[in-house]
Amino acid sequence: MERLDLIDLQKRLECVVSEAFKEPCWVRAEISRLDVRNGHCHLELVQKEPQTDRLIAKAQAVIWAGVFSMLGPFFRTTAGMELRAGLQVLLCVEPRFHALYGLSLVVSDIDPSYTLGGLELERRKTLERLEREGILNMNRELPFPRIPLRLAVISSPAAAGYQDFTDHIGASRFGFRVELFPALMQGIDAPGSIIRAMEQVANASIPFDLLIMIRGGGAVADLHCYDNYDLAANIAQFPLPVITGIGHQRDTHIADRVAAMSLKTPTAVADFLAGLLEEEEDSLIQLSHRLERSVHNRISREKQDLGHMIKDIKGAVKWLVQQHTHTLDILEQRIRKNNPLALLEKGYSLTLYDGKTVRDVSTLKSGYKVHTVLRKGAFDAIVENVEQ
Amino acid sequence: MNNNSIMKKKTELTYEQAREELDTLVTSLEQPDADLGMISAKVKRALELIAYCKDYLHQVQEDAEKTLDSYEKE
Repeated sequence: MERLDLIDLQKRLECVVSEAFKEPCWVRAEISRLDVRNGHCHLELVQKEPQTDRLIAKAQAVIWAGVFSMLGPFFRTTAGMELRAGLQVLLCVEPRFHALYGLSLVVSDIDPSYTLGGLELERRKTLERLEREGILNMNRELPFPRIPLRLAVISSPAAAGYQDFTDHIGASRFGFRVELFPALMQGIDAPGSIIRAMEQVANASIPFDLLIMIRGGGAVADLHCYDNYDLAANIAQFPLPVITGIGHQRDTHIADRVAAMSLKTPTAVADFLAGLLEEEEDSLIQLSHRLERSVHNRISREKQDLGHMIKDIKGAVKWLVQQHTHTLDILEQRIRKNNPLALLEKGYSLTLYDGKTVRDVSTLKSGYKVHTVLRKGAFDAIVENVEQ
Repeated sequence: MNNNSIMKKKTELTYEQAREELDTLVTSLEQPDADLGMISAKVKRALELIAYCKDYLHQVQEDAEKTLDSYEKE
C-alpha cells in the first residue's frame, strides 16, 4: 500500500478531476449561499431529495469577477431577477481541484431560461395549493365598494410609483383619503415586510374601503416575491378587496391573480378609482334626471286629466241648467195659457154664478143673477132666456 | 260679486223654495174654479218667480264656468 504526502495526494486528485472533466459541463443545482467578494461571486450549490428536502449533494462554485461582470447583468435582464440564494440554476462549470482549496466548480455560463422554467413550475404548484385550500378566489369574491374613498396603500414611500399614485389621486376632484403603510416592495424580504404592513392595515382603528399595493419606477427588479405563497395567501384572505399595481413588464404574478383587481401601474390604479367615482356620479345624475322626468310626466298627465274633468263638470252644469230652464219654460207656458185675464184683454168676458165660472148654460135658469167680468170693470145681470 | 249676490238671494229665497211655490201657483191657476180675484196677483208672482229662477240658473252657470276657467289656467 502506498504512502503519500498530502500534496502528492491532492496533486493526483487534481489530475484525476481534470482528466475526468476535459470539457466543461452543464450542472443543475440550487444556490444555497451566494457571496460577492472583490467582484468574485462565491456560490454554495446544493441538491435536495424532492420529497424530503434532505440534502443529498453540496459543492462550492465560483464565478470569477471577469465573468461575473457579464453574467450578472445578463441573468438580471433575462430572468428579471438577481442571481441569489434559493434559485434553481443551470450552470456551465469546469470542476477544478486545488491542492490547498479543494474542489471548486468554475462557472463560465448560466442558462436563465432554466431558472424561469423552475419558477414557472413553482408558480403553478403554488396556484394549485391555493386552489386546493379553497382561498384562491376569496379576495375576488368580496363585494367591491361602490364609493371607495378610504384607501390603505402599501408601498415604499420613496417609490416613483407611489408619487404617481398620490399625484393622480390628488388631481381628481373626489375626496380620497390615502394612508401609507410602508413596506419593502421587492426582493426576498418583501413578502414578510408586506404581510406585516397588511396586518397593520387590518388592525388600524379607522376602517378602510380598499387595500392598494403599489410599486414602480426604477430598473428591472426581482418581482419573484409576488409569486410567494405566504403573500398570496394573505392577500387572498384579506378582509378588504386588494388592488395591485406592481408595475411589471412580464406576465402577472400570483399576487395579482388572487387580488380582487390587478392593474399594470400605480397610475392606472389611481385613474381607475377616479373613473369609478365619476361613473357613480354620472349614474346618480342620470337617476335624478329620470326621477325629474317621471315626476314631470306624471304631473302633466294628471293636469290633462283634470282639464278633462273641468270640461266634464262644465258640460254637466250646462246640461243641468238647460234641464231646469226647460222646466221653467214649460211652467211659463202653462201659466200664460191659463191666464184668463189675457182673454179679457182680447174682448172676451167671463161670467160667474155663485162665485164659479159658468161654462155650460145648463147650470143656469131664468132669473139667476150672474156676475160678468170685462177687461175693465164688471156688471151683474139677470138671466132671461136660456138657449140649450 | 256674483257669489255674494247669489248668497244674498239664497237667504231671501232658495231656488228650491221658489220652485215649490211656482209649482203650487201653477197648479192652483190650472184649477177650473180658481179664485178670479187672485189670478192676476198669482200670475204676476209666478212670472216673477220664473224670472228669478232663470236668473239664478244663469248665475250658477256663469259662476261655475268662471271658477272652472280659473282652474284650467293654472
